[in-house]
Amino acid sequence: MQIATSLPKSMSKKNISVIATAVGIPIVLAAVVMGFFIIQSGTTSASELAPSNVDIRVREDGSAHVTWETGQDTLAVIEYGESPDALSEVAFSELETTSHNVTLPGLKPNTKYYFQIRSGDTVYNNGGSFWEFQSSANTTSSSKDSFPEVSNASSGAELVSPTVSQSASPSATIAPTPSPIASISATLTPSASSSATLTSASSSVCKSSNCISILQQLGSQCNTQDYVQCLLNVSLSITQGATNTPTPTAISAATKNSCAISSFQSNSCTSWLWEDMSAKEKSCSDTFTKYFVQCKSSSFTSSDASTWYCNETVTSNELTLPCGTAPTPAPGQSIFCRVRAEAELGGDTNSTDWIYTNGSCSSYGNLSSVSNCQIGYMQQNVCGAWSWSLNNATDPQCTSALNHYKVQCTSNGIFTTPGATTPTPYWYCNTTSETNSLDMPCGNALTPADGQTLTCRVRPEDAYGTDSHAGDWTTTTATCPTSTPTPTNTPTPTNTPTNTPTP
Amino acid sequence: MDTPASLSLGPTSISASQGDQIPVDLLIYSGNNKTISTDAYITYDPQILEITTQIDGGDLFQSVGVKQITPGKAYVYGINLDLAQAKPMEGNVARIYFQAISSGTTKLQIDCVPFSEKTSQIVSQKEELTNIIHCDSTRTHTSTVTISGDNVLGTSTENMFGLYKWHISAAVLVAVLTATLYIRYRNLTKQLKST
Repeated sequence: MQIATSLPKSMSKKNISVIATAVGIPIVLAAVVMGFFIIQSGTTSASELAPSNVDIRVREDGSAHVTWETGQDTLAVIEYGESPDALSEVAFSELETTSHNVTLPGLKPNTKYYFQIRSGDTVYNNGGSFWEFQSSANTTSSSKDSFPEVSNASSGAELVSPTVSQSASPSATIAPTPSPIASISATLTPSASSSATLTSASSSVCKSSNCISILQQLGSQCNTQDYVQCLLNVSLSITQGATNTPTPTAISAATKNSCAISSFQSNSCTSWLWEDMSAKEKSCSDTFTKYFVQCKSSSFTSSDASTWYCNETVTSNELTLPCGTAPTPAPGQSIFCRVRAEAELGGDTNSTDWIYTNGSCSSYGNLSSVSNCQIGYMQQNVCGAWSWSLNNATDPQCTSALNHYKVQCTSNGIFTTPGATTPTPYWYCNTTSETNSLDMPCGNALTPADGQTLTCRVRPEDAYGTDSHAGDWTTTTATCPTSTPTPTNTPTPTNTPTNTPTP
Repeated sequence: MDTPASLSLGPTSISASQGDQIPVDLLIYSGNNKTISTDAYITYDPQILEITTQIDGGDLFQSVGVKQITPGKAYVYGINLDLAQAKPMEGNVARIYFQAISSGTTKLQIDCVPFSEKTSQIVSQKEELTNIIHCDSTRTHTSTVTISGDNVLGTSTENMFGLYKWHISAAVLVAVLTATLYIRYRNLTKQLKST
């Protein structure tokens, strides 16, 4: 009985221990594996960015060649200088790669240089001691490939805070390099904020003169630098490696001055005309082969937001707005334009000075119900001298919309194509006037003779000058005094009018 | 040393509920550099946030805009169309709006990689249109957004515990269980030996 009861008890304890062992060991293993992955996940990213196999070779042409490897593709930057506290120069590889190859050009002869490597978001400085090398004593010889090895740092670079070095932005001078990998070196400006100019290898649309396309591509292909450059037509003075092109000879200031466009006018708010280079000396038309014209809704010195109606290069001396896909100027819109002549290469250095003018697309049609903006009277003061006035010539909405007056005068008050039985009118005037008066003769038409009856009409118009952009006609008939009758000057109805009205 | 030119986000921590629209200010500091334009690429977790097309311009730029480049990456620009408007800038470029689409925590970060084509910029007025941004500073100017399902949970703290809290919690739990079982095993073994 004692045996019978002790056996089950013994077996039960044994089973428990076996079960506990069977469960405990996998759990411990799982904990170990999990701990490993926790540690691994926290260190993988940084370790893959850490440079390894850093190799420095000094060249006799005054440069140094640095190669290193990373565990993952990164953009990599070398910040270097003559002191660890002043790593003011930057060189970098343009490619995201694991095998980095960067040339440090323009080194002073026989000078000790220090550098650190920026990989991704992290700066590696060889455990705080920085990598260093001594430049060649002879920096004037050719770039013969003699590579005296200076050091071969191994991996194990220490991770340091990425907040101590200065900005790694490229600067304007981009030096060609014999390296198959496009390397760009840059000299940072000595200011506290490391300034730099970046030439991005963006698509051609970003470098085109179609600023609206650039605006549409902002963020995806282009950046605001491209857009502003397009607007300002600023040419960046950047050269790069194999694509480096020789700088053209600058056009002299005297040539620019003598060839500057001297007249620029707005025929209407959508029609612009300027002096043609072919009307100037031959040297001007030989030098300046195109025009760069910009039009927008606010002055070029204004701080107001603008709508751009044109920003393009043209070869003729006239322009019709809008350009390309730009919006059509709205009625009432003021337009500010500027134009300059450009040589083939364009840019500020190859252009004449800007000439500015402005026009208005104000719409008189919108003022048809505004009595102040209609003609109040029209009268003949003396024979052939007419004047008129708006009902309220000081009303600002009238004066802002008004661009000119349209004036027509005929011998019989007929201003349209006459019918078969209607006497053909003699046209004394069919013209526009920016003032509120008219003195005959108009063009080649005759001066009205004493005793001649004239019928004239006038209406205010905006820059468009069409029926829908004009006020109402006001018509007045008057006869010239007969104090000095000269009947022989009276025009006959069969006279051919020199100015025919536009239908 | 002068403060470097950089972009930043405000506020630096945001708590909101799922479905909320979250305003975020893009801020600029350009020091004494006259600035003509800026580009900002902002990254975030697209599982938690969506960028909207709404944008309110600040007083610094005449033209601002926002667009989504890819899920999780938004682009904001500010441009002065006239060089005369270029000036040293400090303040709000624009206010953009995110939509909280699910609960969780994400970090808004301004993507700034030196020499990269599509990177955040601060463009100075100089003729060369120089990019003066200091990427190191800009990258540290993050904003942490915490979205709760129903209630606002508060702002999370970005540290090692925050990143690995689930892993650590699981490891601690496993360790406690293992220790409990081990102690139990030892006790059972002693009892077996004593019997």
